[in-house]
Amino acid sequence: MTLVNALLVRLADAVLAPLAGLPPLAVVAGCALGSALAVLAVMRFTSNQEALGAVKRRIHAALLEMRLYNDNLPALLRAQGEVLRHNLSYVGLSLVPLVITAVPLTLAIAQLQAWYGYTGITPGAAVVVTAVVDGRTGAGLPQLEGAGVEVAGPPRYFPTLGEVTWRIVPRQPGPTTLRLVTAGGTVIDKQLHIAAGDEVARRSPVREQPSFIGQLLYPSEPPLDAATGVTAIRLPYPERLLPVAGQAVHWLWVYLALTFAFVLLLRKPLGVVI
Amino acid sequence: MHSGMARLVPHPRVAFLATAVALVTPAAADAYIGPGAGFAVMSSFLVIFVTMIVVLASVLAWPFRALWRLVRRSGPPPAAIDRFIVVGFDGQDPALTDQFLNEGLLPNFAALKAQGTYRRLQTTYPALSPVAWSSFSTGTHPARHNIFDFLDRDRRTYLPLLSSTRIGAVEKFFRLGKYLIPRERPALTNLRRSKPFWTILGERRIWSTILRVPITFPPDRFYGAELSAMCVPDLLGTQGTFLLFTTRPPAARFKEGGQRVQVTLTGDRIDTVVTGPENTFVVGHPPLTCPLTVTLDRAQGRATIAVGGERVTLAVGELSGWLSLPFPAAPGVTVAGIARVQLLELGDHVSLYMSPINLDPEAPAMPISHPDYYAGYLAKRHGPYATLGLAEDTWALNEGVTDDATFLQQAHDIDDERRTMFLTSLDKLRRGTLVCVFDATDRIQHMFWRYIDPKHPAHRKDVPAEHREAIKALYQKNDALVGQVMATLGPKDLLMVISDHGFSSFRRGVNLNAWLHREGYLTLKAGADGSTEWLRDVDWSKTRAYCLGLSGLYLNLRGREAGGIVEPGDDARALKAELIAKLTGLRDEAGGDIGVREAFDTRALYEGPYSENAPDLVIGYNAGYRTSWDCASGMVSGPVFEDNTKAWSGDHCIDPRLVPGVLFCNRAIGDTRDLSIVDIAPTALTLFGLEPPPHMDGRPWAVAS
Repeated sequence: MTLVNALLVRLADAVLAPLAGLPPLAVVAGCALGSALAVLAVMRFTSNQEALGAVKRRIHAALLEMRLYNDNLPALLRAQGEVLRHNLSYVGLSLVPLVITAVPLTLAIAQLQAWYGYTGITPGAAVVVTAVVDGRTGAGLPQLEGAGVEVAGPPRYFPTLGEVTWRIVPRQPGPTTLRLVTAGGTVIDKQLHIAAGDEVARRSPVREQPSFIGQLLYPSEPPLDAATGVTAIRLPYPERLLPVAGQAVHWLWVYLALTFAFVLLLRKPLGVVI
Repeated sequence: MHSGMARLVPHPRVAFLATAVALVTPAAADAYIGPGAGFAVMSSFLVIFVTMIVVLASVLAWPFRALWRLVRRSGPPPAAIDRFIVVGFDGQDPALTDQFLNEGLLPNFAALKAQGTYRRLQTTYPALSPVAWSSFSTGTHPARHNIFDFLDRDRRTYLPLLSSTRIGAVEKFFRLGKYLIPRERPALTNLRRSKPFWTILGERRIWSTILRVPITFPPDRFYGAELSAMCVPDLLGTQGTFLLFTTRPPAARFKEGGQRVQVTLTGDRIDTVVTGPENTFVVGHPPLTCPLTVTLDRAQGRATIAVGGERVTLAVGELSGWLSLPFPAAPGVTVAGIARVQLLELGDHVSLYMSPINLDPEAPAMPISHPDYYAGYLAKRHGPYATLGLAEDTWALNEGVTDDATFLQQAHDIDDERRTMFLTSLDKLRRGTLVCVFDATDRIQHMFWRYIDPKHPAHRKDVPAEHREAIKALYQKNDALVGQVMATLGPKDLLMVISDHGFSSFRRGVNLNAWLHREGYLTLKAGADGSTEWLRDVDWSKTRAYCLGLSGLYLNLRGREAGGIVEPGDDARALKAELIAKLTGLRDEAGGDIGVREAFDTRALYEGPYSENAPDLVIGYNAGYRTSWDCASGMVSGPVFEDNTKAWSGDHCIDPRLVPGVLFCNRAIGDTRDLSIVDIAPTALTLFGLEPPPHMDGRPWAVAS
């Protein structure tokens, strides 16, 4: 997974870095269009289009039957049974494309989340860095340092939570590396992106020990070494919200809504049953 | 930066977890994964949710609806029956039925007869489906329901009009560049008058499902569902125009219901268009078109036909299934049709037959069902089906474009479509009425009678057994359907199997316009020879009588017809009497038989508010005779009697006393009088506990309980 993530990070950076200057809404819309086309292609070539069309017609027929026989309870219930039965067929027929689409789209969304899910930490504003430790702190608390970052005060340890926190004040905009040195002398890096404005860049709020979910959700940095005694390091990046019709909306909803819309718009011209 | 904006933020971890879960369980991930496959799950949940709401709402609303009906006293009265099921086999002939019963070929009909009733059923004057089925549905004679024939005439121009429906044009538009946006709907009127019995039942909340009963276009509005039938036009607005795409040189145009489209072969490919109706959305109303491509594979003896985004590969002689023909009319507006195609030849010349373009039942250009979505519901449930009124393409066979096998396949396919609809509707019916008319009996007897009548001019012995036995096989198929229906009957169900008329051979055609001309009642314009269609050669200022339609003879009455010269009153009565005297017993000297048994004065047959619209005389042809093809198309020239050599070889448009229908019922009917098709509507009302309205001509039967 680490290797896959490394490749995906390179690929995503190659695609998204040149677009960083564009309005995030435009890039998200472009990605939604691409995803819609990919979804339609997968549906077109991996599903039984004829059977899908037939089962959709039967579902529609059963719905109309419910409308037609709404005074006839047995007919109504039988029609609902038909709806349920045909729905199961519909889901069954969609399973293969579902699985095929789910994998690349999940990975793509993780990459997009890293680029468009967060805004940068503002220079001069104090934030708290948290390291989750595994309880072996007898030898002393780890230390934190970083170029362009002022560590304001000593670390604080919360034994019940197993967390060590530092209050830091970023000073210089741009990417930097926080360096956490354990009592044993092991050095752990954590990427930090400081931005004065609404700059789009890859940001990773969490670096964790290896796990499937962790790797899936936070692909930007390699996992932590389990031997270090540090389970995770967290940065409180603010979430990026996109302005849509006067609302601040998370990019993911925008992406999903647009992808749905593009699929609906393009399915007939492209002759895909979905 | 986003202060003041509402927030709609999914927690990223939750969202990503949902995505991960989606890898193994699709259901939860729909909204997250995005559309495509995710659509399936999300829309499925939506559909299930909606249906549950509908069911719940229906269940909860039920007591309130019942209470409302009780308060309004509009609920169903106590009834003697739960279900009234009418299976109509259009044209099932009593003589043939008797013959097949005696041969033991119809065990279910025999069982029905043994269980209840088998009688002759009197038909109407004339014995025509639109007339008889209108009497069936309204319980009245033609003078009260206003349908006297397939055709009526325009009294100003003497040109034929469809007797049952008026389709108006849209006159008012908004203009937007080259586009015209209609400001009104085209007027569509069913000219059948009087209320069908299912409308009366519906007023007391008794459900009816009415499938393909003739003269139900545009559909009736009532408590129930109805699919229109006879007189539903094709997409071209005609009663069925087939298309023949051919590389053969132009030939004489078809007499009936067909258009020849000249095409050119380029290499092994034909590129042409299917021409649809005129595009009322564009200035000038140019015709709508749909591209059609035929790509030949001579080595394999087949061709691929691409039309409307669909492709089908056919061998010579193979008939396709229904193909969609979309005709784009304006941005976002498509007029949809369906048709079947057959590759007729693939040699030096290439010819392709296309059936009449039926209105697409999923998106009909005109209302063909009640409720509007009912036609679409049937199509979604059972697949596309024929919607044209006279759906079986008799004209193509008559013109020799298609062959017996193709016609039989078409007729049986359409019959099967209807059987499926009927059986599904029967399954749904708990209380109320179900009527379905099957036309195959009529159409196949029309086209295959020549094979059971050795005296018919078109009779041939060297025909395959399945064609020679086509009528018998159909009766047996109908018998099987009757058996299926009988198996579903409960103790309070009443089943009637009926036909609107019987059948007879059509060996000789009678051109009564030629006879009227010969006898001096009809005069041609100077220099005209009478060979022009639709009576255009007639000099109306010197004509006293004329024929139009399949059975009607009209006086050219002053004050009624635009060029009328016969004075109403005594003159008209005298002329009628004279014509009746001359026509009754009119002999066919060459044929050696009587051509006309009796000419009936319609004023003596029936009285009602629409008597004025009736023909003055209804001609009762003898068995073996009928209006000739030339007379039916308004030609005056040619002999009075001539052989009918067409495939259309059986008919029923003769003396109605010779072609009664059949009545089978699962209960005994006590009446000793003659039973008439006009009695069924009042009988149905009585059985459901309702008093038949006084205007009904029919009288209810004493049906055993």
